[in-house]
Amino acid sequence: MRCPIDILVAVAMRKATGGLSMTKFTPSFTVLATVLALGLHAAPAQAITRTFIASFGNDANPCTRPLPCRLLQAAHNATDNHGEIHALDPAGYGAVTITKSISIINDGTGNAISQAPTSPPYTSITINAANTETITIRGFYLEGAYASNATGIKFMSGSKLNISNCVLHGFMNTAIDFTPTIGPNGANIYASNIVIHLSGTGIIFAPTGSGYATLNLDNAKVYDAANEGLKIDSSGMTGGLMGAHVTESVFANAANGILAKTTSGVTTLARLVRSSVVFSNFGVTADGTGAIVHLSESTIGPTLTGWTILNSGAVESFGDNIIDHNLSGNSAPPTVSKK
Amino acid sequence: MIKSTSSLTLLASLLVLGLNVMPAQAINARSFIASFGSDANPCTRPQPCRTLQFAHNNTIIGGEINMLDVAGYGTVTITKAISIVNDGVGSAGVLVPASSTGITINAGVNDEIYLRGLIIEGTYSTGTTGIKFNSGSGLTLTNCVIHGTVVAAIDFSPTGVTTNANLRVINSLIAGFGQYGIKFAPTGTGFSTLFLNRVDIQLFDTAGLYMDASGMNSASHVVAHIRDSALATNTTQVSVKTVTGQSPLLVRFVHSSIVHGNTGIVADGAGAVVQLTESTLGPSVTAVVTLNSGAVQSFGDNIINGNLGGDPVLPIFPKS
Repeated sequence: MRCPIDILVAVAMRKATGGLSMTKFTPSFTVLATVLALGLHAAPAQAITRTFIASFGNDANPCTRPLPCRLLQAAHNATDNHGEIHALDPAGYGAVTITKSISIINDGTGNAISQAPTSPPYTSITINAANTETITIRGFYLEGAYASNATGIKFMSGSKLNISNCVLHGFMNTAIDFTPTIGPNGANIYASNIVIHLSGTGIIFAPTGSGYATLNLDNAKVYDAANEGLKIDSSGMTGGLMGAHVTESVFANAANGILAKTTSGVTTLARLVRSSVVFSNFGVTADGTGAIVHLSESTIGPTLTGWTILNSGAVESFGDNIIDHNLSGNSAPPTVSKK
Repeated sequence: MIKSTSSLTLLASLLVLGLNVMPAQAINARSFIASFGSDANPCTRPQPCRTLQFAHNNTIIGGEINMLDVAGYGTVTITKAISIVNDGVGSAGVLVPASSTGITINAGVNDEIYLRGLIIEGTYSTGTTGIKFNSGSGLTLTNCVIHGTVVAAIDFSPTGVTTNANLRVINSLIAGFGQYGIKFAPTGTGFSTLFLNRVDIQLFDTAGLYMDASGMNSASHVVAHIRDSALATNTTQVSVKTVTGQSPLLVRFVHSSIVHGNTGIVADGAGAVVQLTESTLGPSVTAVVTLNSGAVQSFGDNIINGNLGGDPVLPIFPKS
């Protein structure tokens, strides 16, 4: 018997690889003439696969390599679904609202910055895409300027966020807030080589609905979170599975290093491998039936309280961790055997 | 003393020809390409070319191509030992048109190819392959991103291997959607190796990593060493196979993660062996499938947990 999740993911993959749906349309001459007339005036807005932004760009440009745009939003609007935006040099590129699958890439040209505005949505990158879409962000420096309502990436709808080589600084609301309703392709974050410094909450991973919600976090450094460094919460899910796999990462100087929480009973597993949770009030917490934190080859402590279970949550060790210098004690969690 | 006797007519002809064909004669040990380059240039630092293909054609065997700035540099077919290097000048892109391949390698049996700092984008277009290795001795990728290729990100399927065929991928991201992340299926005889270090492979439909040794003969060895790498959310994460009478196949994972997929590992065929050490297998729907006497083995130090179809008990080999 195929597991429901098996079918779910398989269907999602087929849809994803099936390409764009072919919709045939037959515009009237009137509409055609209108489109042509608009086209002449709106040449800069014509969508292309690869667009460019630069400090010396201009949003009246078509966002091409020789004629780059100035801001992320203009380039986003000029880029095809599944296309790319490339930064050409160090600059502030403004906030952006993303509504499609797109890759935003700075591959070592210097500091490409997106600062959260001081007016709504108070967010550097807002994602309002269809529930099958993938958004990639590489090499950007997101700045919240310590504003209490500032959010770095607010992923409201869409399927996947792939973020690497980024710094998110000073977002005193949340650095990464991922709360889409799970669609047919699942809801997934892939994050590697990121730094989150000074935030309200570092990462909130809380998709809603039913399906497969996964977070893969590698080489993430989360420092100075006023609330949680990482919070995964399936309370809004009605079925499926939530899994966070965290490797080679550090959570330091947080009120709560890592919190796995559920009130829905959905399995909510946060697994830390070769990672550190240090210098925090609470190290790791599992809250709710179905909430589990796994620890392997990791370090918990120094903290005030190393590990905590609430409401029938579970913290489990593979017997190879350093749990030490926690002021309220260093008791060993129940162990699970390595195999 | 040999006295030159070239006529003025001949000299004039040479000069005229020279003016017309100078760029094609500029065979460089080190070529340069730039957004502001032109394929009418000789691909030198002061006069860079515009496209990878033109620079390749004007670079000596064993030479290198360097990027000068951010640009899309077009697809390329490589026919010799060469290095293509972007060392931090910004995005160096290869956009793959529909039904096409970004980088095709048709090199000689002793030729090594080195690619660094490239972004290969398939834009989810039908029939796209990122890199297709048809012939050569070896391919090394570092600091590359391959994304949105629908057929395969890397298809390493050299035919007629006589001694070596090696693929090394280091510090790179290979992200779907698509059928295959890395497809490794050489044919011939010899020693064929795959090395992955700090590679993330995500979101592929048929397999994140597919290895098929059945095209290498019984005198061959096909070996993979994969460390500090992650396979995540691929429908089948790792699928390896061989057949009786052909090359054995050993795939070893060290410090790596195989998580959040439907099926973790498929080992098919006597001689197809996957080994895990200090690695994570699961959550998955099905952790391990063995077919036709294929084997998955553990050194007893793995996290094999959270697999919905049950956590398998693998044969354990002691560390020493």
